[in-house]
Amino acid sequence: MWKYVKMLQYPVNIKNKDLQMAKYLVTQYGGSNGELAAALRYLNQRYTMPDEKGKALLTDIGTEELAHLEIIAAMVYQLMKDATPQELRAVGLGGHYAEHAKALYPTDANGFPFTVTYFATTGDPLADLQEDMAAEQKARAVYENLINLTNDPDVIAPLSFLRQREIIHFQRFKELFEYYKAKGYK
Amino acid sequence: MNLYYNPLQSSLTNIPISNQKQMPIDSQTGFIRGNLFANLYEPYLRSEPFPLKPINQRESLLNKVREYDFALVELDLFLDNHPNDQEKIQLYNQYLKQSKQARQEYEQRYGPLSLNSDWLNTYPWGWLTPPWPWEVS
Repeated sequence: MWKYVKMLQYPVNIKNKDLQMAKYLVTQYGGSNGELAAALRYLNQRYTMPDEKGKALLTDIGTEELAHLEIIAAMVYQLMKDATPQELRAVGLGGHYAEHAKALYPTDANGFPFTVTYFATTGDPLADLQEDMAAEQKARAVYENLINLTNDPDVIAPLSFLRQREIIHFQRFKELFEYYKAKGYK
Repeated sequence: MNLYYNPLQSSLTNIPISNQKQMPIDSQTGFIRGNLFANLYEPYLRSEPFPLKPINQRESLLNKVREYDFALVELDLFLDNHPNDQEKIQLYNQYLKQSKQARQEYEQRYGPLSLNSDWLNTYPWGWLTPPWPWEVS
């Protein structure tokens, strides 16, 4: 089971409204390389990991990704919260406003809604772990793209934190992958 | 460290010692970097992250909880792959104590962080105490 802790893993206090950035950033909420896809991918793959190490690591990284989902959600919420419908319309978020007003809704940066096809699972631990290593690298690259799209330190600081987490997760998946490969798991 | 029978111990072999290079840095630097391990730190554009600027006492105490909890996350992920590293297990338990102390300090002033907090015997129900995590503090 999971228990809620009433804090963000890393602080988010964004002072300046930036709707364009909210529109890009939402991809880490509901895009193919986003935190929701990552959390569900790992929490879905953990059942068929062959030993205790894999069950633990997939559970623990999946759980941390849920905390990252909350950081991204807080950022999108804060960037958008003071927007008027006209301002949303001006940056191409009129469709979002029509459907959801200012509620959060997981899509990618182009408005494409979240889909479960993002969390590939094969039941083959080596294939799944390589998928996860690639997912962490792709998420790191997207964080770099997002950092390149803003000058606001209130936005860059949490994005840099999240980017480092992708590097650590990649390392841990790689260690487990090499261990499983050496053990001859298929 | 507590010694107890661990059924995993017999089935787990030591991993080639890739972990010896993974020495944790101090929890404060590790937290603002988002990475507790100096040899795994790969900054982008800026060599060091932005320092935290807590805007009030509440945020400052909360950052201590975050810092120790972050060290716990990092050490746990490491230990999942390297369960025989005694030093890291000791370090985990040291940060666990610090995390509990920092929580107590925060919660007695600003309300419960979780529903198994020691600070829920309050009237009215303290869980409603603002702010919620996504609100600007």
